[in-house]
Amino acid sequence: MKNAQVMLITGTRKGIGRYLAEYYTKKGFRVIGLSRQPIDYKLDHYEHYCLDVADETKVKQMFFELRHKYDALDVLINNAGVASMNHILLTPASTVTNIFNTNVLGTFIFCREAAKWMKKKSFGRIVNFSSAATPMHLEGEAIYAASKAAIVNLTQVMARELADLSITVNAVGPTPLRTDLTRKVQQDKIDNVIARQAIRRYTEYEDISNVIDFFIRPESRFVTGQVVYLGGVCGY
Amino acid sequence: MQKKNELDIQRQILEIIYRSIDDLGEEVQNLKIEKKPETALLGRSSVLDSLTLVNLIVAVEQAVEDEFGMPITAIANEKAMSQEYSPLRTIGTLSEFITSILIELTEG
Repeated sequence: MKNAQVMLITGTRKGIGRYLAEYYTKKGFRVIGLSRQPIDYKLDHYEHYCLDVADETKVKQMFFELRHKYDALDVLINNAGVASMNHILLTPASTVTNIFNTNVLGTFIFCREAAKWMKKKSFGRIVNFSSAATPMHLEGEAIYAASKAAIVNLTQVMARELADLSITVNAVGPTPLRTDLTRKVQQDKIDNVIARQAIRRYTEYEDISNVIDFFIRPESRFVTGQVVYLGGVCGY
Repeated sequence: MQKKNELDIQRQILEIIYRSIDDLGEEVQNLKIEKKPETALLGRSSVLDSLTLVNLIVAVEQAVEDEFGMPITAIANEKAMSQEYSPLRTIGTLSEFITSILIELTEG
């Protein structure tokens, strides 16, 4: 593992994040994962931090420690995200703050700190998480979709600002998955969303890692600022 | 913090900035920047383009973190990047600004 590539994944306690941690450690990456709560699993070549992605001081402290532990950071996957499904008339401002803090502010802080580190090696791959909820303009998901729209724009602007440093920034936009986020949503609503996709089924974890594999491979050095929505959902 | 310590820190920061300029010179061709406190970093008198300035600030930030053994808050906020009264006006004002950040951090 001495020359293994180093990958940082946010939100690895469960769901897609945990799957990605397992998948990329098996592929030979040295993975650093994090979540607010402790994890209940162990993996080889994996280490875990407990922190809130929007806590700038703690995130900076973590990067400071990691920079002294590893020569370089090769890949950042900004997976951590929260959702809240509700009509806007019933959505408190605190929900908006919470969602934007984790989804947008967290993504931004991690991109900034990762890019500072990646620039030393003049190589870096950043993959953010958008959502099909953004181009589909789903009712009941105004704040979640807006936060993911912000990530799209952040991805596109950062791709330009970081291009000269040989760092690519792209995003993947899944359609509904069977996760904790969608378990709380009524089945008929999920069915309606899936019916609007070109390929009418749930996103599987492998669909996401397939897109990430493409974004992070060395040959994808000319691919940046792109958002790939799954299931045939089209962007703007 | 004693005045003497403050001056020592500032001197140390100046050395870090000069080292970072040397390192940057290996990456940026024809980088002609004088290593003295009066050298302008922002504005018309500056010889740095915006990307080179960003690279210099990030390099200084990381070198300060390494040398003082603690993370520091971002040096370049939007206030700092504006030209009037910006702490990034010259190498000297930058070193004073970073010194004040470090003093604030160590005094808690």
